[in-house]
Amino acid sequence: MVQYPKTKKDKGRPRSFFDYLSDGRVLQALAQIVFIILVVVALSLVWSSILNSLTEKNLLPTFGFLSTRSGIPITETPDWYSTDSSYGQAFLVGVINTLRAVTVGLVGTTIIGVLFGILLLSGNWLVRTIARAYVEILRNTPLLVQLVFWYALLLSLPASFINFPAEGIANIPYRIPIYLILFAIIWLISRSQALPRMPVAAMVSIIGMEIVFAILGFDVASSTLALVVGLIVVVIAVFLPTRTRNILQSAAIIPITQFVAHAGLYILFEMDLISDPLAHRSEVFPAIIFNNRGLVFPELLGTPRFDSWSAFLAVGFALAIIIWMYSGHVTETTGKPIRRGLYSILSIVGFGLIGLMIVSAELPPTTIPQSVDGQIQYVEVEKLREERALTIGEEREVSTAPFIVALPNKPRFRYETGIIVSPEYLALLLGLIVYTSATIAEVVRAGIQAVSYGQVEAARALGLSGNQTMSLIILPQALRVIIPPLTNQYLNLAKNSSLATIVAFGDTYAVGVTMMNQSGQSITGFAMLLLVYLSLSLIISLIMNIINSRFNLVTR
Amino acid sequence: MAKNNELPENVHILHEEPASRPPPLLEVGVLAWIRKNLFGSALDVLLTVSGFFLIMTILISFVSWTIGDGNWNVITVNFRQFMLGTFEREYEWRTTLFAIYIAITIGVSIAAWVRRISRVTMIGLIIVFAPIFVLPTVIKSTIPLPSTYMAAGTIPIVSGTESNLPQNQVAFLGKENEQVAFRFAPIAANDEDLANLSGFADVASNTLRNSALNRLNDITNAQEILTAIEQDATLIDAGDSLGTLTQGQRERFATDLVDLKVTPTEEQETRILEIIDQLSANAEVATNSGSEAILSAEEIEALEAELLTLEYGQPSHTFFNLNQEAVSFTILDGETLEPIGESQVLHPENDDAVQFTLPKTGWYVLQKTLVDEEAASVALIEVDNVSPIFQGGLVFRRTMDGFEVPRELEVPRIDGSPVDFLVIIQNQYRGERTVSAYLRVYVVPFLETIDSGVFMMLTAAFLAFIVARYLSKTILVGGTIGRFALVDIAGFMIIAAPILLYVFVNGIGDKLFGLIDISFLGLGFSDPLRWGGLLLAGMVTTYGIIVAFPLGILLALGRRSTLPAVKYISTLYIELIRGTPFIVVLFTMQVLIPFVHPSLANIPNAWRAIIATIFFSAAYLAENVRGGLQSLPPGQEEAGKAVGLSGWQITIFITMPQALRAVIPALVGQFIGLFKDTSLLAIVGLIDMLRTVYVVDAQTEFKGTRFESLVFISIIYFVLSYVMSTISRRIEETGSGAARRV
Repeated sequence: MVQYPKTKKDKGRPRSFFDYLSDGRVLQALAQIVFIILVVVALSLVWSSILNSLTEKNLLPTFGFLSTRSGIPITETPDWYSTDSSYGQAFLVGVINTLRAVTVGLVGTTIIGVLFGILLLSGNWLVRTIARAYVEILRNTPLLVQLVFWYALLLSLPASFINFPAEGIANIPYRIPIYLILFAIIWLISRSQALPRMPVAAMVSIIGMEIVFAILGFDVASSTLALVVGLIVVVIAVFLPTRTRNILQSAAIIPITQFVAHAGLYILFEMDLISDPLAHRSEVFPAIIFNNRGLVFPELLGTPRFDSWSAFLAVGFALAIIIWMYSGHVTETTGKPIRRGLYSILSIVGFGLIGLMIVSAELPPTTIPQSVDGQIQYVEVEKLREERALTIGEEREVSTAPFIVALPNKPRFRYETGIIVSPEYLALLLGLIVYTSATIAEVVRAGIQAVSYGQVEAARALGLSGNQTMSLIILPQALRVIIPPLTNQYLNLAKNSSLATIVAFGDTYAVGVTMMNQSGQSITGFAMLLLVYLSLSLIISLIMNIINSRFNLVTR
Repeated sequence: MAKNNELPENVHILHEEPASRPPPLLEVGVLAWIRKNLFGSALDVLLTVSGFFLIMTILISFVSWTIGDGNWNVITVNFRQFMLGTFEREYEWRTTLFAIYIAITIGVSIAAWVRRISRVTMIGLIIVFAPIFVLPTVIKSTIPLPSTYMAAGTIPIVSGTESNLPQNQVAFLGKENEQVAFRFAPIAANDEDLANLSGFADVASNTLRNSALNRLNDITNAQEILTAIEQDATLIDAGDSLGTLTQGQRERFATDLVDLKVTPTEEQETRILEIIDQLSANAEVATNSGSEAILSAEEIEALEAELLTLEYGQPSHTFFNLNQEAVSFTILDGETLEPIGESQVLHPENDDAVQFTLPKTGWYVLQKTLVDEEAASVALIEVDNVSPIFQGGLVFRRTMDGFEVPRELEVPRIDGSPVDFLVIIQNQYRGERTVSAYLRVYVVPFLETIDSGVFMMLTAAFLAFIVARYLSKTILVGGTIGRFALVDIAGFMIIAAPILLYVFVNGIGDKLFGLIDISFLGLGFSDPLRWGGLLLAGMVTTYGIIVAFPLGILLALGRRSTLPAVKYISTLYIELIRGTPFIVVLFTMQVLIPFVHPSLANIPNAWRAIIATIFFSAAYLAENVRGGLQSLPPGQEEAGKAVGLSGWQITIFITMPQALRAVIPALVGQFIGLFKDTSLLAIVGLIDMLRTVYVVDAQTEFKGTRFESLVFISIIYFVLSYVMSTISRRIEETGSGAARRV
């Protein structure tokens, strides 16, 4: 027991050294000092021996090597990078690539994960089972194996896999009148039967069919496939309640009629009464190309008029934000519902349209300089356009629109316009998104199930609709449960992006390791790798913590 | 009263109950279930239909690839490498022994922890495992081996730039009493038949097949180009300024057509001119006199098709006569080179197959020559029981049934040089593969590779289960220890497993403590460089968790410590590791360990990986344990203090045991995660299962088989992870009650 001086008599006596030693606090402090000394000594021993070995090999850690020429070839780089760039620049490219993968991956995996989380709770047995199989298969196989699989799959695609729309755009006008007539009929029927969902079903059916046609190409086979699906749905609908049956039949009538109509057109063509409805021009470039060389999107290219147009857009956006905040305030204080989303979008669209009209009022130049036989001549734009001799740069100059949509074209071997996504980046993204989404789906499912059923019943008793119940009652409460494990998954995704090296994507780790191998600067390299990944983790958890605290505050 | 009960005249009461009608068909039973669960609303119908199509698309394409395309021999031949890497063959028995030990442990554990095995589980197990033993026998007795095609002849077969002379002598592996049969391939000598040939084909007959395929392709191409050009021309004639083709396409198509055209023989030239004359005469008549054409539409079509066939691509069978000459067969013994029986001759006139019965197991040489050696002819022969051969090191085995000859038998030599045999590199299965060929050639060898191992493990597990149950019911019941003895035994066996893993896989050397000679045990050190596949994954996972365990507990306690220095250093370590990707930790250790001390440079890669895994998983373990400690109610610690236990005593005897029980599911989860993460070893240069995929993909026999191997290792990862996570979920569901018995 510790003896403390209590009486006056003891006061004068100085406390001995051993008294201090037997004081618990002193002991603790001593123990800590000893512990720290032990750790420091151990670490410095390791450190000094590492330094010794490195000195022997003349590889003392410095940062000087970062400015020397690297010669590292990286698959995807910004324009300013070449193999002549320095190690520092190469590493920066690696960091940028990691950030590209992580940011897009986070957004993608959240969307897909939430989707599958909801599907896991679906009332539909088949959908639930598919979602369960998706989650179990992906969770129980290593990410690295999945990455290798995606990469091998993307590289083994045929040289011409998906051209979207497959037929070019020439044929779509043939189908539009049919759709319009059908849609009008269904709309009239739905008005008479008070079934507002029928036109929606028809719309969904049209869009779905167009997507299928765009992928498969519009021909007898895909048209017949649509017919078969339509017929199956009709047969199934017979066994269902009247309401569902009507909605389904209005969706199914579309593919059936398009088949009949096209059969009719074909018969007319066979009778030589009309020209071939299926004839198409091979020069129509598809908008999206997906094959073993990656994915190419159309590119939006700004014209000189873009700047003035974007000013209009900015005003629209500013107004939208004001509307959003003000009406939010009004709703909160008065309880009066305002459709603020609609008004905000209207403001942006309206200003965009007005800007478009004003900007394109100015007439474009009718002639542009061209070098003909080594001499500069002014040639008429119309003539060039007919000869298809306008380059994309000239097209930008003479266009009246604020931007032009540049479809991907491939004059030689490389796409000149269009946004190219390499198979390496695509494989990494696919792997990260799909793998993480399986875990996120489970997190979301658990979160939604954690909200007690009484909440849903209470919401129904108040007369809230299904959507309102979801967005106002269930989600806010579920999110409180979801966010902490979700943060963990986000951190995992960020760290897992370092596996990019197996799909030959030049991310931080891949570039860093190459850098260490080439320069021998392993200590510096590790320090830089650590720094990048730790700050990435830190930033993500910081943002998620802010979101989390905001949520807790709102639902207090 | 009575009067009140009397009913008025006009009321009639039915005393019989109304006949019970069956409920509506759509409201009960299967239909109602389908209606409710699959077609509840319009959205449901949409989801069900699209989900159904999605599943069917994926399943059909996967199954058709599995059966029709996948080269599954890559798994059968490299099975050992996927499991053990290049582990020493003389120590292989140790891994087998360990596998049996694991099986026994599983049997005892089931006996200890599972109260009753339901009938459904038993049937499920039988359904899963029975095919492994039943299928090979059933398939072998019902499905004959697919034939091999061989060419015999005197002239080289040409396809494009390739030119192959049929071999006269082929070495093959034969089994005792096996019947080798030869007959002419049942093909009418036309290109469609030749192109559809399916089975194993030797180089010459494959060239024959390719030339037919090429020609058919040429004709289709020419047809397509002609159609496109015609379409374009029609549009231009109709006044369209652009047509369907660009100028570049037109030029390219024109050159393509010229390339596709072949030089016709004189005979063909006359026929071509004849047809062109007929057609143009017909066209002239048609334009002049309107409807009165000489030829009908069908006739014109037939003539055009013939023209196309003559102009584009040469029918291969016109180069030589196919299956027109008699072929003589002789089979020589591989060692003595003495003929077995008489030479036999296959005549094109009668269909009878020529048969030989092999007297013993070993190498043979087949000689196949045309009887008329002067004749310029080729024969395509269908052969039974002579199949292509894998050559792996010194081992030769047949493709179709995995049959091996003893190693000491050498390839037959004639005049000092070894006779060629059908190497699998060049004699893969060609053409459409049928389900029966898939089962016979790919499934049976694989099942035969694994069935002895599976049988041993199953028997061991089953026997252990029976014995353990019997013991617990007879000897131990009523004893002081009772049922718990079994649980203790099982627990002890599980704890002993990692130690045995070390002893069996790494070995303990020939001298115990450097003194006692135990070399007779055969437990010498194995070479860690040779560990690979599942074995490596098992080693890294097991030691990554077990050695990290004490470290993790210390870190967890450190993080909860009241001493700031200890607390912050522990926290720093944990957070530093948790913020870093595993691959970075692995790579750091691979590179830095040799720098720490020169003597450490000798640590093999596998152990460096294990050290890295220990450092890595300790941080995560610490967090799990800390979670367990935090989940305990404070009353436990207070009670300990009240009894007068010191801090360490409370931790060791009260809080830690409870915390560890609470985190068992999380620990299993971490074990699974680490097991999956062992695939990262592939990046730092160890030959784990994933790297093995690349290794076997580089073998000449198995170029381009990455998907097959990936599917195989995914199945292994999936099954092991899924089983483990199911067990951990069971532990979690049954709560602490089940966990407490550990």
